Amino acid sequence: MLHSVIYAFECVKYGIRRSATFRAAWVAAVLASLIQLVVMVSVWTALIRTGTASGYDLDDAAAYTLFVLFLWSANNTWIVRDIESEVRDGRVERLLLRPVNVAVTYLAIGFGKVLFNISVVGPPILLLFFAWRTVDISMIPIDRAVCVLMSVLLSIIMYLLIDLCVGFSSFWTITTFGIDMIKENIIRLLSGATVPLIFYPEALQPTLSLLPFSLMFFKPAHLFVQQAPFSEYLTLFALQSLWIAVLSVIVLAVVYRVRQFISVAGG
Amino acid sequence: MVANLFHYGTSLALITILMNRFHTINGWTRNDIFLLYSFALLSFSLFGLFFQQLSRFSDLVVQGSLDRMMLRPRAVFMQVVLEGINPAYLSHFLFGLTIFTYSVIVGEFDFGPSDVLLLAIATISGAVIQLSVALIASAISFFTLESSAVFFLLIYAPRELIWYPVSIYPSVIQSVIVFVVPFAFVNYFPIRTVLDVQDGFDAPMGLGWGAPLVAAIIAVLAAISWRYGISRYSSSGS
Repeated sequence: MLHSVIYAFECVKYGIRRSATFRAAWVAAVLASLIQLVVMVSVWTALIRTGTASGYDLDDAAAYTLFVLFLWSANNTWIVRDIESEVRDGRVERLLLRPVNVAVTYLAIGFGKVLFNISVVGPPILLLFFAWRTVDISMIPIDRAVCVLMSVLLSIIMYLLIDLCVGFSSFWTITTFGIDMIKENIIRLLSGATVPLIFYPEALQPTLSLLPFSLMFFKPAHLFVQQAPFSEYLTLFALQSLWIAVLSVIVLAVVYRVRQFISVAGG
Repeated sequence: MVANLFHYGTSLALITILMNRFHTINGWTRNDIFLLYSFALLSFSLFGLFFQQLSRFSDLVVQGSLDRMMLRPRAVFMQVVLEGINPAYLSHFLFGLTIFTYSVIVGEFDFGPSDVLLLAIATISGAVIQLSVALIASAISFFTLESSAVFFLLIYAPRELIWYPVSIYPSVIQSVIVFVVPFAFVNYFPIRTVLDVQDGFDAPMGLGWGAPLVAAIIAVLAAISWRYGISRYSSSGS
């Protein structure tokens, strides 16, 4: 057990180091986040100038945008492409030969990358929160701050597990560029990562609430903006945990299937 | 190709959701925004069809492939272009054209011959503006080897900005996309001219006709940067 924890910790460190190596990529990531922020805040300013909508005023929309942007930037791990590249050139066989869990390894590396992303994108976004004063985060009670952080953590784990599912599909598809892009756009459309789901047509709401995507962006951001009570966070945690369990089972099943048909010549 | 079209479809769906809810953004209706978006897509796909490989130009420099090209008795630029023509962008063009046609029909826009002429000229000018900015970004590779972040900053980032009317942005951003990386001339000014949208932007309504001139100026700057980069190029040693 201790060995597994140490191994996972080493994988997290590897993920951080690996992200830090590609400076051009993280400079681009920060710039992308800032430009996306400018676009979204400008769009909301122009749209809400005429009044509020669905209980959202401009400050709420700005706080929502900052929150989802933070999550989106944190989740930008490229772990799908890492897995694809290792599968394609055969490096994954070294991992398959070791007595370690492949899914946990990539999950930990991905988590390391998330931590790196947070360290890069987090400070400017926090500064903007303070500067904008949409939500005075220094005045948030400690119990609610813990709830917000917990919802963010569970959301990130959900995203990583979906990334692993897509990444492991490269054992069959070799390339994941298209699938990954489709995944990103499905999440962008159905999770509220760009537009809060309360602005979506009423007819779509039941379907959206059945899918896991709203638990990754919309719900955590909406509860944060609306300063929701503890009970609503409990419901969110329960649903997020349920989906994490479902996604974990899917990931483990995929890894099991891979181990069934891949034969690695050792020695 | 399917994934790219899915990406455009998602963006359009998100615009539709917003515009159905709020109806106008700075005086631009949903169909106006569709026109703006699809017009940007048309010139982008023309650029992508012939010149998208410039986004990987720094790889050619780093891997030493450029040395091989420079030994041949042909212009390096033509070799780079001809090695990477990507017909998949024809589908992007068709998608853009479909959305453009849909917007024109549903929005009941009545374009006269001068409008059609402006749109045709502006499509090509838009592609030239993007090519020129891409060339300037690529030329940086001659000195720094790695230029993907610069390429991203100059090409991909402004592209997202012009999905919406330039008039909604703070004046600093407006100045950047009008004077520094003139992507406002790719779609915003031409469409604003043909639709005559009064959105409070402090610029002449006929500025769309300035797109070819802006394209010519930036093309000259790009050619100078490229030639200067080639003349100062020394192999990466790969």
